Amino acid sequence: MAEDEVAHQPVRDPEPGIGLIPPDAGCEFCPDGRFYRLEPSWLQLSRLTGVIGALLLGTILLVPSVFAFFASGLGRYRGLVVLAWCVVTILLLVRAWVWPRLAYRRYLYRVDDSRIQIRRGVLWREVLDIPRNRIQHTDVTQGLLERSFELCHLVVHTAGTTTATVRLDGLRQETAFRIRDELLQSGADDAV
Amino acid sequence: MMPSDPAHFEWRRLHPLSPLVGVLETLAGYVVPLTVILVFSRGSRFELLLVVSLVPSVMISIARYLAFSYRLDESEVVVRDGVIRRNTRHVPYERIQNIDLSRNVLQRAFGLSQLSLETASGKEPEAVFKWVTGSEAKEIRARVQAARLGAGTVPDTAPLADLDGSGAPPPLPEMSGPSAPHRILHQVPLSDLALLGAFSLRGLAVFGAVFGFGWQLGIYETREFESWVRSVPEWWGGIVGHATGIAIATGLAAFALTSLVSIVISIAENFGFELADAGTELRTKGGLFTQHASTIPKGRIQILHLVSPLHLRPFHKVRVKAGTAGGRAQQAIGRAWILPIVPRREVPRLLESVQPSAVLPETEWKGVDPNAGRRMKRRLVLWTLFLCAAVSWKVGFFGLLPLLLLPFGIVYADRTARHLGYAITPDAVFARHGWLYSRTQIVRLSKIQTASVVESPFDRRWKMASLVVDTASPAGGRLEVPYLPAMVAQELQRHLSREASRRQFHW
Repeated sequence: MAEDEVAHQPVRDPEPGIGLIPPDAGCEFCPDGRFYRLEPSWLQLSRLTGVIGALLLGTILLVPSVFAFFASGLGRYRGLVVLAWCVVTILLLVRAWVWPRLAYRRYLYRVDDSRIQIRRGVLWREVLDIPRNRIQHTDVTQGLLERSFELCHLVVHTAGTTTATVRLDGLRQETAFRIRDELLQSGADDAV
Repeated sequence: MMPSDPAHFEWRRLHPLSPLVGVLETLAGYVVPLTVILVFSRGSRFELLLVVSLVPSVMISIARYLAFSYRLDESEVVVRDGVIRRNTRHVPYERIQNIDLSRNVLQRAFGLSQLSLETASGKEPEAVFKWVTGSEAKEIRARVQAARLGAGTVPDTAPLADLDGSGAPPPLPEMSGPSAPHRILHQVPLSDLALLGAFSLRGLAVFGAVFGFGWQLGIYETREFESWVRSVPEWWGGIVGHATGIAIATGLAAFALTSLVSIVISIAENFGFELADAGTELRTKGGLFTQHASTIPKGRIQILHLVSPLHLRPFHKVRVKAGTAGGRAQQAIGRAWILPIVPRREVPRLLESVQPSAVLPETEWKGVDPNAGRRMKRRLVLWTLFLCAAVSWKVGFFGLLPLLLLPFGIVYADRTARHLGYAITPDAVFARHGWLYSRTQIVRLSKIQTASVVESPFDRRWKMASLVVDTASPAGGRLEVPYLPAMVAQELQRHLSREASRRQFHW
């Protein structure tokens, strides 16, 4: 399936009556409670990070594998070690390639007059509501890899514990700034 | 002294006796090992070593004392400390979450106490004053209170100051300024403290320590100990009879001893525990040897826990804990209990004073998904069968013995599921968990930080979801209702986040 197809694919609407805006439909972010997807290039970005991570883990696993191959008494079964390493690394790579698409499909956000909502997760799914007046401050951050994809992420800070920092990935810089400015407006009064 | 008086903004030191107390405290920590050394060294050069080892401790105490100074400004307390790395901290009175005052036996002898100020920054107290006199502690508390009340004037603390000079172990300074009416809500009787200790098994730690100490001394290898052990069955057997009797009686005796020690610990810790209502804040105090007093502003309680362990249930007692935004350290040492033990029937009345919006609506409890019990039972049975199969594959028939516990497990799962519940009032959300160890959590809607719905793959199979409400309290600050019907969870989340967004959050 081509990447654009994923972006345009209609998702099962979590709440009927509220439309879903694919980011490349020419619509700019608007805090009207409609769901938005991340930028499609986030898919490539997370595949890239996933593949890098998989290769890294594969390299780390190489150490015990080499050790097991040469230094253990496995005898003629030691070919299995090579096989196991190959299988694990390939599985990691496949996961790194497939998973982001599933994650992308499930990753939605929206902002309305009372809250910012983030939905995400493939197996363990989460719908997180942050009331707008509970936002302490926000950061817009761009990582090294993100920069090459012209993406950035928004970090929302609350006074909570497990949700003290909430990250919203895969935004174009203008979108991130627009969301930030929108969220700032309501937080202008002295909350603490 | 008036707030405008510049003398108020002077840098102050801690009490001049502080370094001495510090050294004595270090010494007290060494008492046991030192006695051992002195007894066993029999007048060799160890005394010298002892004196030498004290020198760094003395120097550190003096350096700390010289490095530490503080200033009470109109709106903040400024603390300078650090021997090598100097550090100046400004703590606005308004930001102080709670004030904790404690004094151990040694500090009491000198009329000093340790005061810690906590802000919402979490991990550690923002400023620890080791050690101040009662009148200074009182002044700091009065200022914080004044700032909280928003009154521009600082209550004159001078009339209270003389409480302290009255010699003989003075009571912990009662921080009630003349403005704050101080009403005692509950005093924990000695019998309740004994009950609390009886099953807590904290005495085990003491036995562990004694055992370890004996090990260090090599007592167990001496001939005397060996012959004593051999003689035990004789005289012990004379009292209780044959082998099984001995085993049972030994078990019981060990339990009784542990209980006894636990009771002593519990009483020493919380002796004379009392919860008082002082208008906008709550005050607790207690302790026999080490006394402590805490001030918790009512408005800063993020979450309330009502806990009823199995052994307190027959006596209709519960424990009440308040989570504030600061004070992870405080909560770790158990000071967060605003009531270590209290009769259940007293709870509504107390909650009325502690958090008027947090009174339990006994009739409004709603259960979770009706299938929750079935789900828990099925999971339990499947896991037990799987583990038993795995174990008995290795060890044979005896691996199946855990199956005997299955009926209990099923009853347990069933009761636990039936006990799960939630309630929502216009001001607060309540969650109820647990059967053997039952817990109720209360979060006011204005203290909700985020509301989420979490769905595991298993949840989806059963069309269930969990509702999770996060608050600013670092220890156990999450309210969670599992096994809700998915639609209900979503509905609750929408309601809670909307209600939270309508209410301004004030730490």
